[in-house]
Amino acid sequence: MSVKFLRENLSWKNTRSGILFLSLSSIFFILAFMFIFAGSSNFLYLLRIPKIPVIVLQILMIVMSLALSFSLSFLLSEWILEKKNPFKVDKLSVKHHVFFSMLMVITILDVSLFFVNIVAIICATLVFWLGKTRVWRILGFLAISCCLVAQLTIFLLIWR
Amino acid sequence: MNKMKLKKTLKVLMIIYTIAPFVVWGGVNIDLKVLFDHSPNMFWIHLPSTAQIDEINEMVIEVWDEFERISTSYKGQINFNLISYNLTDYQTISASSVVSNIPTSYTFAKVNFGVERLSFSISTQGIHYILATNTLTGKTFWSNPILVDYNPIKLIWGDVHSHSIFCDGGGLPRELYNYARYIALLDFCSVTSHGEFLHLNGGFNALEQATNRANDPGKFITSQGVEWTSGTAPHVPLIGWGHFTSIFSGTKLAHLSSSIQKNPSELWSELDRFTSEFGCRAIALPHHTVSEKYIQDWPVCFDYSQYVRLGEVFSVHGSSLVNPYSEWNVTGEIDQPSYQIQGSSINEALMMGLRLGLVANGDSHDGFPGHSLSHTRAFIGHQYPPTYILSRVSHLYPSGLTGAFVSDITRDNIFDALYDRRVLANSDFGRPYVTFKINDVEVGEDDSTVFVANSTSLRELKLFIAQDGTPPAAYLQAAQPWNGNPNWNAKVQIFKNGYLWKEELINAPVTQLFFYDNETIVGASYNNCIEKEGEFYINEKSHTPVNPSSLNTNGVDYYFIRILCSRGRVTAIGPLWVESLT
Repeated sequence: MSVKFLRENLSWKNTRSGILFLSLSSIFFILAFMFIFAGSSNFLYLLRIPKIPVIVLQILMIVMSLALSFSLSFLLSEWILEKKNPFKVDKLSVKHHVFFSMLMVITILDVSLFFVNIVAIICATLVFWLGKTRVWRILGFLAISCCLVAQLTIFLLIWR
Repeated sequence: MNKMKLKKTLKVLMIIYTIAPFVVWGGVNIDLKVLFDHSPNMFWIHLPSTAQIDEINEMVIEVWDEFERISTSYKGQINFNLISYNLTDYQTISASSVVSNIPTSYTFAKVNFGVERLSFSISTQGIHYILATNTLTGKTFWSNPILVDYNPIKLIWGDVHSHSIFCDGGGLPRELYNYARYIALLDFCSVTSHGEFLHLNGGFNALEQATNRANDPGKFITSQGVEWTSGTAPHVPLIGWGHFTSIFSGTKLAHLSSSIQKNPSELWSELDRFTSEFGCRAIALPHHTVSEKYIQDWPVCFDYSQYVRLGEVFSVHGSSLVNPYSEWNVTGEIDQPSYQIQGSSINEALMMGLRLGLVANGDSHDGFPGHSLSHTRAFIGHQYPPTYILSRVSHLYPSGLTGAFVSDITRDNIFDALYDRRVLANSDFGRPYVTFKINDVEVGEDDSTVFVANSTSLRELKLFIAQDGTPPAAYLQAAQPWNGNPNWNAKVQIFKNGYLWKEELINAPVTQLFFYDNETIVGASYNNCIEKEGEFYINEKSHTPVNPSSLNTNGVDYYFIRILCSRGRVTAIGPLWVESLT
């Protein structure tokens, strides 16, 4: 049964789409993982949480980075291959809410980083302008405020 | 209509509000000159500091832009010249009396990528400088000094404190080692990422492997190293005992992290266990000891002289040699306290009785060990290698270098030189040749201790200085070419028992100085303890109670040298301890 199913679906077009999906999602996965992992390790290094063992933090970092980057890369690749504009919809689906949640998490995690915090600003801008619902727009506004405060703190306190 | 207007205004405000973070980000992270201007500004002429007579060596010419980066666009001819000084009265030797085989000229092409290596040999004993004249601009650049004689002891240079992207720095360890070897032209190096990050990210093994792979005995030595960082890690109490960069003599890297060893006693116990299990030795190096955030709690080091043997006096953080509030402070330090905290500097630690040799390292976080660029405008975000933490932003000083006197370039020899304190410290990429002796006992010889017959015996202090002719770098100041010849004016300071004892001005590239002392040997003591809840501490930041009467050198005098060169380059050597036999 399964062999028959595979044969039926095994076309050049499907294989090509599969390869394209895999390549795209891998690129998104690596990038998202990098940004989420870097941001979370920076935060966990900065926060003083002496009671929590390192192994718990490691598990937290890895699980969070894997889960978020996997979902994000899957969603983005799917939308790109289906040529869908995720921001041009009348009503946000569960996938959209997941997507905006990812953007918010990346904003918060990466805002304190050096140079690559441009990613946080871009994510915050996307949520703010394309959030559709009032809740997402308010959260986007807060995310942009967070970026602005971080940037101004760097500029006014640390910059030379 | 009004509603429409309000909506429009709101939209404009929203646009401005959205653009603002991008604008500030651009202002902080983009520097167009750093991005696009790589035009040649100066030559850096590098020679080994020592050579045997007739030995064939390599001189390296690097073309730098105004941010001390390699400039690949230089095309032109360089003419070479040799200036030599004899070793008897340190006067110049006439060119006709010097036998050498140096190239007369070399034409740079774009294929050189801004770096060229040329062979040379010198047959005449003495201190020599190679001068390179840029035929396009007429500017002449001096090399560092090279001592040519029959002495098999080499002076080699390294940086054993730097940080990679495995923690809060930039670049992979192998990239850092490549830079250190081929661009900064170091002889030894250690990438010593923060253990707390390595522990969090599981990076210990990768760092250990990269360090062993980069090791090339005879040419370039890498040492295993890691930094134990108290008070600033996430999983430890807020108590700051200071930071210790640990260097190991073997091929194994200890897993040191303040999230594993929660306090200094656990750190020392782990070093005991590790060194005994793997049959190696370790050095724990206190650094940036006067920075308010990292004030060194010296009493935790008191019973561990087998590990705490050196103090890092210069780095990208500035200088910890003397207290920033003392009258002898010239360099400063980043994050200097707003008030005087006694007992934080290396000089004060020596007064307490610790025996620390003086070394300088990078503590660089920009991925450039041995020649950090963060004191120039090239610390900016878009510089490669990238760093994802702001750590390099606040590093306003050039990285220092440690000179080590060794017989061969091997891991054991270099570790021995560090362990025995046969070292000198320089505040930037410069490589002066300096030796310091008392009664013919050199720094690092006989545990750096001179024994004299009685407390008033005459002590002869002999100092030999061959200054580096390359333009220096200093606080927020990239190296810039000299106008004409280098400025050789320098102030030589001798510190005795924690206080400035003698000072002399020099104005020649090669100088020998003698000082004589027959004052009674009394030793030094630290007398600024404070009392907290019935117990004494070295200062208000310390967490370790002490017995104030034990904070002294036990009647032993000590001397160290600081040389303040023009444009902010500082060299330090010592100490030598003088002990009376009766």
